[in-house]
Amino acid sequence: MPAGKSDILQGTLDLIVLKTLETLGPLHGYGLAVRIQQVSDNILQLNQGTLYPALLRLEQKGWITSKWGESDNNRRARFYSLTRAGKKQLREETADWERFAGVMQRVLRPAE
Amino acid sequence: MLRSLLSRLFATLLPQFGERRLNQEIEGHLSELRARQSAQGLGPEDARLAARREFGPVEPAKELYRDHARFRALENVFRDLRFAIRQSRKNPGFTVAAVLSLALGIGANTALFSFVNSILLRQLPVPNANRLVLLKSAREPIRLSYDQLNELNRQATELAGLSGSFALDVSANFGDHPQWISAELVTGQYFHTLQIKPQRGRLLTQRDLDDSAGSPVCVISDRLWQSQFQGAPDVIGRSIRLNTRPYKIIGVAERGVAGSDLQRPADLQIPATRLVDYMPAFVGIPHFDWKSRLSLFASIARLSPHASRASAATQLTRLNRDYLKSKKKDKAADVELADGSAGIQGFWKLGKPASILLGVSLLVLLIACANLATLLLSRMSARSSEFALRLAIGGSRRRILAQVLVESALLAVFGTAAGITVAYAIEQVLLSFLNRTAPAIHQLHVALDGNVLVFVAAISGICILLFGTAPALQAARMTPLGSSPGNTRAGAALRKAFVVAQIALSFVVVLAAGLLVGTLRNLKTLDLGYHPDEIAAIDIRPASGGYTGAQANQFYVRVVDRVRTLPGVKAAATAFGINFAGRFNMKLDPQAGTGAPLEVNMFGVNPGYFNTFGARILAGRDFNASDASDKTQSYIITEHLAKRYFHDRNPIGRYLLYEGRKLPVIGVVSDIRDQGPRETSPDTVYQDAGQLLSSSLMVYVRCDGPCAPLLPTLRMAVRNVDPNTPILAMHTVQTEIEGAFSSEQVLGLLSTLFAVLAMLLVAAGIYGVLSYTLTRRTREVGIRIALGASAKDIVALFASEAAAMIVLGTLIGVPAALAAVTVLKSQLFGVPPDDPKTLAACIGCILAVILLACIVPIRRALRIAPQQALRIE
Repeated sequence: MPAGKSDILQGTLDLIVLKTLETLGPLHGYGLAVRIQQVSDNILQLNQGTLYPALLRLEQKGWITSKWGESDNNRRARFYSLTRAGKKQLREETADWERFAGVMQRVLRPAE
Repeated sequence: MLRSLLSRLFATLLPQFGERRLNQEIEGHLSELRARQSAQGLGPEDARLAARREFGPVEPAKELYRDHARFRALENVFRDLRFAIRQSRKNPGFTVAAVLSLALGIGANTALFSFVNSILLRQLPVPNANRLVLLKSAREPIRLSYDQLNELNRQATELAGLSGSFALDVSANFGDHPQWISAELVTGQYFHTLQIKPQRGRLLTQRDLDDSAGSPVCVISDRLWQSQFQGAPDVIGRSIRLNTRPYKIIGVAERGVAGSDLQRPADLQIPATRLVDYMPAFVGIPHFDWKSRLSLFASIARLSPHASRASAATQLTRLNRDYLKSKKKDKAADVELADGSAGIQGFWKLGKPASILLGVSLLVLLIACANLATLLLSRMSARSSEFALRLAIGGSRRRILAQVLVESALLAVFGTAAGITVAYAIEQVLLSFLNRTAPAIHQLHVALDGNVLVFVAAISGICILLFGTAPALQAARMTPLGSSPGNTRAGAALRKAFVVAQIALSFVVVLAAGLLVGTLRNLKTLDLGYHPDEIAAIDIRPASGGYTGAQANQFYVRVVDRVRTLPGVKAAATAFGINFAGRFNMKLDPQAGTGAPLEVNMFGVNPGYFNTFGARILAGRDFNASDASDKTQSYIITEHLAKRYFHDRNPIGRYLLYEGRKLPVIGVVSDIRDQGPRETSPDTVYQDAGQLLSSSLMVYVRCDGPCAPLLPTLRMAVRNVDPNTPILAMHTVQTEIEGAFSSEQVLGLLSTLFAVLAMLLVAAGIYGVLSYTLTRRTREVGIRIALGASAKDIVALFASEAAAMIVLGTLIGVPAALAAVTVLKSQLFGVPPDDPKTLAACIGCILAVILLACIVPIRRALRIAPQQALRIE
């Protein structure tokens, strides 16, 4: 693994997907993968194949829905979009994450 | 979440839709990646590889996706099932044999259980049926008189109610012609004791019993209300004619309630105080108080809330003794109380035979399971390379175990499905056989209810455990190198143990069958002293036509006179005995200074009876018409009894001693078994039926040759005497006798079937084990033959293996069989349970079958050519 890259933390992929869909609206799997890599400046090592089981899981939980559509390259692709329940879930998880990150920060840099 | 559950289930059952979507998505993703790489100047092949690198491993991603999309465990079961079905198709002989033996085993068990269930396990549909008790003495149900019941009921504080009922058939006129209805004469406590509620109107109380003289009333069942009155709401207060007398309907009982005997549903309850409508012999006899003299009523009681069976029995015994003492009777047996939740079981006596057959069929099923276990174990060994390969390439042990279990379960499911069909067939055949002689209103019914379904499920589950466990354990111990040597040895030992168990169990089944068949043969070949197919028995009751007292006897005389004039009829007479149940036992006191009391049958007959049954008067004379009106009673005894009781003295003019009375003997007749073959004692005392009080007699007609073709003519002739007095039943005595021992016939027939099945299974079992040994040792045998082993040596090689199993099986089986068949004792006739001849025949039979099964594989062993044997593998 090249230096400076790190694996996506267990459990954070869901949050990243939900946030990306909220920001950009409906996206297909490839679009999501590209976007996540752009946002993270290629620091995050995304195993793109794992995106699909994650999307299925989110869909089963009712947080996202999907339907077939046309991609920019006129390819048939499945587009995912956030549901109302997904938005609520995103708010809750964001809050949780911020609280957790704050705690981690205080733990790691107690002097500041 | 329900939606995801459903979508996962859907995806499990139809995985192709989800697969297509997954493939399209991933293919699309890869093509976008490829397009981008191409745009950056890579060649097609490089672009493809770069895209794959960026995407990451495709198959693991798909597997992860599938784990979420479907239920993998369920999917595996489906896969195992498909594999199992393919396997069973590949090996149809094995599958058919396994399914067939299971089907016969499960089918027989289910059918017999449904009989046991209907006969022994049902409860009366009344509240708190488990608080009901039956009054018995020396384990036999006792019958009490009307006064006795009421007196005991009044005093017994341990009982919440004590009631009596007497089952009888009455003739009812709903339209233009009379028909028979199954009814009960009941005491005033009947409905109170059983806690039956009315659906309409009200039910009988003691007051109705006391007032019954003027305006008789009755209660009808829901079934009768629906079938005869079409559920008319104004049925209460309507009048129906029972035995030609008008009765007012005062109520309809709850739906589902049909009297106190589940095997003989009753549609009508009549006050016991109307007895004389049905037994007119008691009319006009001065000073005959039937209420205290006739011990007629089967008794059922309900315990008080605080009482126990023991405390109530103690109290009843004491009260009964006091009651009888007040009536100047000092003989009073202890009263026992037995479980009454299943009601009075007075009609069909099939409980014991059905339980015995259920036991035997369970043994057969055990044998079938043991047999299947050996077959499956052999197959496991044959497939050990398949399993070893699967383990070697990373298949999990759990999946192999699951595979083996699924295969066993599949066999059980097919076996059960086929078994239910077999059960239905057996049930129908048995029912039609048992119901042959029963009048239409008393047909035996067997219901397939929840209990039976639970039993089927339980029994097929137990089967899977019995024959599936051993192969599963074997599978669990597989290693990638094939089964370990220890495992193979354990497997072989297990197979042999199963064969030993089969042999041992088959001894029990075959010995039981031998004894029961012996019983049937003894019954069939017994010399009755007459030809039962040449005599017809007509059951007709003058009371149903409204005849009372002397009119009833006149009616019988008219019937007999009419029948005698028919061509083809040689003789006719009336006598006691309905379905051979009309006999009494009595104990004659010993002659002065000689021996113990003599137990004899007592039977009432009218003049002409002996001639009808072909019995010869050996000394003295037959009864004649004047005897009936004679004050001094007279008796005729059988030759056998004459010899036993009077020895060499001439019995004519001497007396039988009975309860302090002297009964004069006027004649001696040759021995006939007119009570059917079951009656062991040919010691019978005949009394003139005209002197006895009986309201229903049987008309016996002897024909010139077989009677069956003449039955329609007889029926017409009897009907012409009085169309308003219907015939209840008419058969040849042959049919009557067969009807009286249907249970012996069923026992003999089914147990033979089970014995044959058991022996076939045992033969198949031992054949299978030996052939398997032979297959494994073909090389060894070939080498031995090549080195000069003689045929004797080869036979010895296998014979020792077989002999060990046979000897062990016999040593366990014979004592077990002898112990087990003691339960048959009450069902046997003319053979003791430890009859040495039957035992010898049974051992010979099993050993012969086993030896036959051994011969085939051993002969094959002898034919092994060394060349061919060495080339194996």
